[in-house]
Amino acid sequence: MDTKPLAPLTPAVFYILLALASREKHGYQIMKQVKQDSHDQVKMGTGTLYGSLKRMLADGLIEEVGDRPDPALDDERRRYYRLTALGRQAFEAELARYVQVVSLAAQRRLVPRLTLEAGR
Amino acid sequence: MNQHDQPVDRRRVRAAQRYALLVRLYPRAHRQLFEQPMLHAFADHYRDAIERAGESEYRFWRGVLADESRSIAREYLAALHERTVVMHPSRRIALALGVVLLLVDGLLLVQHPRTGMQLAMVFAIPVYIAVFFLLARLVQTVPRDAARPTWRRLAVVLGGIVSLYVLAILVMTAVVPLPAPSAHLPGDVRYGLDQVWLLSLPLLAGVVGIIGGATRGGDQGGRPGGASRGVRCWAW
Repeated sequence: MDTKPLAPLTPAVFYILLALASREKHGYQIMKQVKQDSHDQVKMGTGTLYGSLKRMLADGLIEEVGDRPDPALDDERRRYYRLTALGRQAFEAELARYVQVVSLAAQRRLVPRLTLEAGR
Repeated sequence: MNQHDQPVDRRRVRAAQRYALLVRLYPRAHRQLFEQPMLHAFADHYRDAIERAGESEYRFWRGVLADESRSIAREYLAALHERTVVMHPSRRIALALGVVLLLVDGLLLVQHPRTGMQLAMVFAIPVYIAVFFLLARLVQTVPRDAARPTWRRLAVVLGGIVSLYVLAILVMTAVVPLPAPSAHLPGDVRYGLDQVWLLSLPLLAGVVGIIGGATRGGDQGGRPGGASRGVRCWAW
């Protein structure tokens, strides 16, 4: 599958893919995860979240999960989402792009020491 | 539930009601897909932010309003782009009524310029605004394929507009008697520039309406594989 037209991803899409990379989640879990992963840098309200999810569903990056993780413990109105193969491919392609950019910056001694240490 | 919980519950219910009103501002297609999950996510967000983290209501709602206003505008633009808006039948009727009202006003202006102008000042301008608003909504319903201009389609549309306009002028000439000259009406002004505009715009609206209605198909041209495919998406 060709993921080139999808890259580079917007921060919102990237963080949603990151949130769903480990396991399927429902809307509010995604919102919380994005907030945590981006250190509150990506402001994602309910409107932005569901707008992004709609476009990602349309692009085939994510899909709705038919079987809920635990239907007995959950509200049936919740919808769970997970990555599709295309979504995972787009996510990995974006990560590879980031790694490439960081390694290029490191080669040129442009990466601040503090940033590298904070990432360890 | 103890008494202490009641105000919290009431606040939560009120907040959910307010948010439900905001969600109603989204295009219907979006609401059909995401209204319930959005309400659910909002309830969770409210509980965590206000009741657990103690965030102020003002700050919370400021964030919600900023996010929703951006999202609503984005969804309308997307709906316009994807042409997933279909006009509700009641709005089609309103459009037809508006066109008829404007035609009546045009006739009144021809026959009784003073009364016609007074009436025009009262209702024609809002009706024009309403008609053009509805017309814009109707144009959005034309599927992308049907909207693609071809020479044949262009000829049919232009021919339709011209022939309807000429027909209306002929009918007006044949049916409507000449107004009597007066101080306010020194001569025959039936087909002055103002009248032509007043008469031709509703006609144009009618023609676009006919074209819009005739070309409206089952497939509303959503993105391939898109979430909107196969969903009947009504405009608000």
